[in-house]
Amino acid sequence: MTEFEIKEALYVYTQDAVGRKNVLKENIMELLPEKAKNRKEMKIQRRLVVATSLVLAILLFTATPMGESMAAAIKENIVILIEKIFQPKDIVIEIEGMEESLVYTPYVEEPVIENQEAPSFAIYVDETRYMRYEEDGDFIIRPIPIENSESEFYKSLPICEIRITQKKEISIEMVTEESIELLRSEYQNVSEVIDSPIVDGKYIHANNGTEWNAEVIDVYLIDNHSGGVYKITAKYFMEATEGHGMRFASMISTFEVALGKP
Amino acid sequence: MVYYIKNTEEAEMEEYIVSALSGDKIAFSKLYDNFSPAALRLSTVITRNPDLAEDAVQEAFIRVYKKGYQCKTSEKFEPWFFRIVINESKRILRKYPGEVELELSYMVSSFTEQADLSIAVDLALRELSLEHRTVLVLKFLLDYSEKEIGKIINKPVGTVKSRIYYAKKALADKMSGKEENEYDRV
Repeated sequence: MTEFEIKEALYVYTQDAVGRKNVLKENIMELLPEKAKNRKEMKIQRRLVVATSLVLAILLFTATPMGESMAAAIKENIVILIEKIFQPKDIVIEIEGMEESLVYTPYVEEPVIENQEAPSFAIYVDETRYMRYEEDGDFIIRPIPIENSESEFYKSLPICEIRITQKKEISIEMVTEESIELLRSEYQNVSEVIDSPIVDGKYIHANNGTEWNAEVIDVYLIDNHSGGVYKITAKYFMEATEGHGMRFASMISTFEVALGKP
Repeated sequence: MVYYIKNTEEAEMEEYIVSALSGDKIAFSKLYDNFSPAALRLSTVITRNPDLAEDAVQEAFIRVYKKGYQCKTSEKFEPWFFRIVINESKRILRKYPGEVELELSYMVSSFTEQADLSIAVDLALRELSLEHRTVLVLKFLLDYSEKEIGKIINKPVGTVKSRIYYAKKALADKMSGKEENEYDRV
């Protein structure tokens, strides 16, 4: 079979699909939101946060004497300022073919004032269904426990959660390598590393088969712009792909490194 | 080299890609006209189902519009865009794992030579992995170089070359096997 014959075969095979292009265009144009978020707006948002941190860093170094109460007051002001920048917002997601519009609440990691080189992050959380926790320095989002969540059946289900871990002083390449190795030791199927379509970083998917309760994990690796990496893992199971899986992806898509190295 | 946009002036193309990614709907419409045929062909080969391909391409374009700010420059648009198409196609396949087998009837709506060829291709593609199907269409239908394919699928050129070699061989073997079986039956 020559290359020309392959091309011809694939061309014929896909020709009908191309014929649907115009109808599809009408659908897409109707579905586009009024205004897309542009790069300039994103930059302004980041700059505002970085500027806030810079101003407060200067305050810290010039204020004398600087007691603990002053540091606490400044920290509080940063949180208030950041809350003003990250307002709750409506997020539309598609769950099993149905569009859902929810108000997501922003969570901004408290900045570490003592060390301005430490970045923090912002993520929007669907607080109607999920709760925020902190464990061993990790930020975690888990479903709000339901009435019978203590039953044996629910306890037997694989864990569903988003976990955000910051890995300091390590390159994204090294974290990627480590993550792949770890996933291969724990999961039957591990994807290749690709650029994530929902956040500015790398993405790996892994699962333990196709049974309804097979464990699934999505790993996102994001440069923290301070010589480290944010590792976000979303764990759920096959049957929950269209539920928790989609909701997790929707929340993760809002993740941003909020305070970089000035 | 991208054959479906080769007649468009480079500067003009750069301009409308930038505008489309910034939320300009007129520029986005032009971007759709240029890239949708390639996206539909790519997704059809990956999903082996035109309905699923349509869904995947729709999601891909909407994502491009909403997340255009993530694409740093117009030069990086093509690999970024086709990666989204590939990812959306995979996601749709995961979402509707049973849909693929139902759709062969669509391909054979008329009993022509072309329909016969479509059936043969579909049966051959069934035997190829998703990764092999992806490189086949990028290389032979969309005319990307190995280097460009590497950027799209995020793999070194060596891996791309090896995948193309095996995909081409597997497709040729399956297609010729299909023909032999048919002759056997006659």
